[in-house]
Amino acid sequence: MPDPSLQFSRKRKQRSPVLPVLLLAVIAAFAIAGIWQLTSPDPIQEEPFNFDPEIAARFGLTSEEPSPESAAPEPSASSASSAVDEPVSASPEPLPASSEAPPASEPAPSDSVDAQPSGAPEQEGGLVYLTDARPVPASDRVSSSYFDDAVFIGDSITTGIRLYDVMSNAGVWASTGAGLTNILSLEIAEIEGVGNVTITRGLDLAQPGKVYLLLGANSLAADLDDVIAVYSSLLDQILAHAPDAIVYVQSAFPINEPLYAARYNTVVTNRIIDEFNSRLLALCGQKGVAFLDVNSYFRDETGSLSENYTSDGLHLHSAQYLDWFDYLKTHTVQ
Amino acid sequence: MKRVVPILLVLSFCLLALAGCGGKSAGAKTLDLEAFADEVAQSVEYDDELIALTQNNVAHYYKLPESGVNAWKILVSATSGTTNELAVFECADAKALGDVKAAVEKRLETQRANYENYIPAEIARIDDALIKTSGNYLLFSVSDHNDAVEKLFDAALK
Repeated sequence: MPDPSLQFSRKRKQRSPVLPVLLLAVIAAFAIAGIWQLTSPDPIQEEPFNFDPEIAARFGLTSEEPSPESAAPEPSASSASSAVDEPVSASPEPLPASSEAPPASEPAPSDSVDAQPSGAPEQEGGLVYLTDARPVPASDRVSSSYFDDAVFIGDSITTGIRLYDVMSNAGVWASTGAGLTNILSLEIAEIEGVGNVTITRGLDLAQPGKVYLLLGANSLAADLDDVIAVYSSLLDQILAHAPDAIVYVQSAFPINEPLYAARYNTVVTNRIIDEFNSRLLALCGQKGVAFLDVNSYFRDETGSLSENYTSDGLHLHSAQYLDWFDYLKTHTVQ
Repeated sequence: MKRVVPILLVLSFCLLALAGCGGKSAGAKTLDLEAFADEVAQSVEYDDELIALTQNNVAHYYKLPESGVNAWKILVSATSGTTNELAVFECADAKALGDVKAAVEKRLETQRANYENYIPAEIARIDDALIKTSGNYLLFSVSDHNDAVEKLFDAALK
C-alpha cells in the first residue's frame, strides 16, 4: 500500500513546470508579435497611389478632384483613355477630304457669322464669338477653375496634359493615334457612368462649356486644302454637338526641324505649319470660333521650336505645358 | 528530458507564430519598387525620356484590379514618341498577379494598335516585350535592353 502523502507530492511535482512555461511563452510571443506589427513598415500602407502634393499645389488642385472610381449622378466629362495613338505621317500622302469626318448633319450654329462685318462679335447662345480672322488677344488671367467644364481634344501633344497632370480638372479627349482623319471615329471621350465614346457622343452627353482643339500636326504632309476641308467638317461636328460651348482652335505648334526630321520625317517644315495656321485662322473666322495662336508663343526668332523645349522636335517637355496653360489662362473669350 | 521537449515545442510554436505575424516567410525577398525603377533608369539606356504615371492618370493606361495590388511603379514615354515602358507590380496574391498580367497584356495590345500606323518601327520593340513574374511581383519591360532589365530584376529578388 503506497503512502498517500508520497502520491500527492508526486502529482504536484509533475504539473508545475510545463503549464507556467507554456503560458509565459505564449504571452511573450504575442507581446513580441504585437510590438513587431506596430513597428514594422507595411508595404500596403506606403501609399504608392498618392497624388503628388507638389503638383497639386503648383496647379492649384486639391484632393477633392473626382477620382476615376467616384460615381457621379450625371454623366460628365472626364479624362480620356489612351485607346489609340497618334500617327505622324512618315511620307506625304493625300488626305481624302472628309474621308473619316462625317458630313455635318445639321448646319453649324455659327455659319451665319460669315455675313457679319469683320471684327464685329456675334452674340449667340449667350456667347460672343470672334468673327474676324484674328487670334484671341491677351486677356485677364483666369484661374484653373476656368477649365472645370473644358475638354481638350487632340493628339499626343494633348495627351501630355493628362500624362503631366497639368490640368486634371479638365477632360482630355485625346490619343496618341488621333488625327484629323480619325478623331471622330475614335472612342476617346471618357464619360463617367458611360465609358468611352466618340467625341461627338461625348459632347452630347457632357455638354462642356469650352472645347479646345489641337489637331493637324500629324496631317501636314498631306495637301493643305484637304487638311483644311477636313478640319472644317470637324468644326461643323463640334459646333453641332456642343452648340453652347466656346470653341477654341489652337494653332499647330512649331517644330524643331532637325530633331523632327531625325525622328519622324523631312516633309513637314515650319513653313508648312505657318501656311496651315494661316489657313486655319481664316477658317476660324468663317466658322466664328476662337483661334489661339499658341504657335507664336512657342516659336523662337527663327520660327522654330527651341531644342530646349523638346526632345523629338515635336512634343513639349513638361515645363512647356505650364507655359502653354499660362498662355491659355491669359487668352480667353467671354 | 521530459521537460525539455514541451519547452522546445512551445518555443517552436512561438517562432512560427512570429514569422506568420510578419506577413511573409522569413526567406521571402522584398522589392523596393522605387529603388528598382531608379536603378533601371540609371543603368539602362532608353532613347526617350520616361515619366512616372500617377494615381491620377494610371487608370487611363492600365486597367488594374481594384484590389490586390499592393504597390506599382510605371514609367512610360514622356513624348509618346516611343513605346519604351517599365512597369513593376507587387501583388497580394496569385489571383491579383494574374489580373495584373492580364492588364499588362491588354496595355501591350493597345500599344500595338497605337503604333502600327504611327511608327511601325516600334512594333519590333512591342514584339520583344518582356513580362516576367517572380513570387508576387510582375515585371513588364519594353526596351531595347530587356535582358539588362531582367537581370536587375532577378538580382533584386535573389
